[in-house]
Amino acid sequence: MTRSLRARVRAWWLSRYETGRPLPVVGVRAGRRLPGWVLRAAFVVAVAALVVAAGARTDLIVELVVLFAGVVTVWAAVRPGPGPAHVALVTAALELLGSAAAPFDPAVLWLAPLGYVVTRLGWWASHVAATERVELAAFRHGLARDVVVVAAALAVGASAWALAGRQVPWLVALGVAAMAALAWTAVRRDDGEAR
Amino acid sequence: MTSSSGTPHGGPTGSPGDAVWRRSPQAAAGLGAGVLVLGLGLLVGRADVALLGVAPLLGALWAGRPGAWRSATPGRGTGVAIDPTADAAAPGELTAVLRLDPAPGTELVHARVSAPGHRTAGIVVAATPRDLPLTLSTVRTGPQRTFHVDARGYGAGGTTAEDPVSVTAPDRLVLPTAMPLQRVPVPRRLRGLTGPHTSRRLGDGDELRDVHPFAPGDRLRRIDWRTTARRSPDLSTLYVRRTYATAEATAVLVVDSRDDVGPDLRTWRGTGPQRVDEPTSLDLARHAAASVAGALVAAGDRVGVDDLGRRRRPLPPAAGRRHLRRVLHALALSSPVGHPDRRLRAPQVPADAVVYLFSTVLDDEPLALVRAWRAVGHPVVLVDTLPDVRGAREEHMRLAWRVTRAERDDRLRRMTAEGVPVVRWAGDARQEAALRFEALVRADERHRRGAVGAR
Repeated sequence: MTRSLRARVRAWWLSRYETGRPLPVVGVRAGRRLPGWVLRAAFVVAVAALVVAAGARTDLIVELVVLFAGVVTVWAAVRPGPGPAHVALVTAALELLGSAAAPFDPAVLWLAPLGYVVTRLGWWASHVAATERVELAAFRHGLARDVVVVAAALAVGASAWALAGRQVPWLVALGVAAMAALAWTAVRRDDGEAR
Repeated sequence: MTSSSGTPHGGPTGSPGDAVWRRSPQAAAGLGAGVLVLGLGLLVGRADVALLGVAPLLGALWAGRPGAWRSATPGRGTGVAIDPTADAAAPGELTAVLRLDPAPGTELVHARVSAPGHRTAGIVVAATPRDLPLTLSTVRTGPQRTFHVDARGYGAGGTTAEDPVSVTAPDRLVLPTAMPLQRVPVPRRLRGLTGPHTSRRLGDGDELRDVHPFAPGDRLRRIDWRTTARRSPDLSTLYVRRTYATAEATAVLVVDSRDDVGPDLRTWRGTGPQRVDEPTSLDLARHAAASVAGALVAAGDRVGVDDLGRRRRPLPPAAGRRHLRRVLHALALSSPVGHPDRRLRAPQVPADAVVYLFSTVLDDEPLALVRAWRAVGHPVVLVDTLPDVRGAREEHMRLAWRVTRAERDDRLRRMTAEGVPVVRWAGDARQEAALRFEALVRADERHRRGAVGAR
């Protein structure tokens, strides 16, 4: 027999608060911590900010941008994870196609780090439940890597900005070759086992 | 006060060699989205669009980090162990230490710590060898399952993840604590040649019985010279002061462990989990029995333990602090084994022993046992260990509880009418238990004095 949502919520509430107090929590002593709901809230805000900011660079109608942002934001709030994070990234890229500052919109120099932050927050939000905790030292442990990745992306962006508007055929050929190399890497690693 | 026992639910250490590292969905999504955005930018000739895909692509493909630029996937899993031999915990707390030993190349370790009756706690820590103190609070006694940990390591940027490693801490045996009691009822007939109580026999003791002419066997130091000088100035007859001998009392604590019910009626069928911050009837019985045993041993009396829930040899009565420790262990281990059959006869107790029965009186068996003991001359004190039951919301449970409560009240009334003292131990009544025991002792003393005066 399938119970209604209201009945499930009521059963959960009764099982949790029947005595007027919740069950005690297992104590885990660690350093300074951040609650998981902060990461989830930050992820939702970052997703909305990315899509809206990218939409603001285009001539698209506002209602369409708001629709995109609303759908992705709701998805991020309900089921945070790599799915909404990367869909928000692709949506931002599609919106950026309509930018009036073509062929190179300088806003991408802060949109790209924001996009990477969205993907990283998506990972944190999907792995840390709202009631769980993250030690601040854990953030610091992975921060240096994220800084290197963003710095490398910005270096590529700066180079692209310098070359923007010029015909560089060899660069296109290089890009296609890089894409082929990436595809080969992806196919080679697609057996599920990490190497 | 706890001690560790076996590990029937798993080992306290996780084997690091068994773990398998896999590429995470984050890496696959980053790779897919990065390639898509990069390809889109190349196709339309927009470097800014392509740039949006560079960082996610780099993050998904690069498994290294500063200081270990070409770091490979960790070669082993995260070592996880629970050390239950932690420092002494506060009363009502169980502690342990979670030891994490991540493999080189691991960036983060995510640990979820659960315990029966508790909400799960999750923590993400940096992947460095470290110890995390764990605590859980419980008022339950007896064998307790404690911590279960699921830990998982993540590689650089969360691009790789290992299979979770599960570890279960060994069970702990929580000994019951004791509440200080002043005096508790003891049998009228005492045994032994020495002890803390005054018996009716002549012998060495403090309480004066009478003054009697000296007889062979009397000790010279017992001669009362004042009385002799008054009654026999010529010293033709010597008078001695005779005293009552001392003796010890024997008590048997009978724990009715066939029921282990809590305040929540929904858990009485044994299906729902019982809260760890509310004592069940068995916890109350252990606590009450430990308190009575402590008071008896402190007074120098002998205490034994029997369990109605399991067929095994009872702990014979003895005295002393070391025996009290044995009593506490026996009480902590008292729990029903299977479905105990109805006893055809009452457990045998030593002659002249007082019986303390700790029961919920939810069926007729305690009534039959009490009558059987009293029929052969054993005084019985019934300690009611049913917790204060909360009202049920469901109509059928409310009705069932009304019937059960009426039957139980009727049994208790019958026992009181037959002269069996009933001491309630649950809720606020527990604070008055010491006074109730003292009142019983004084009533018994008055009764004895009245009987002696009548003679």
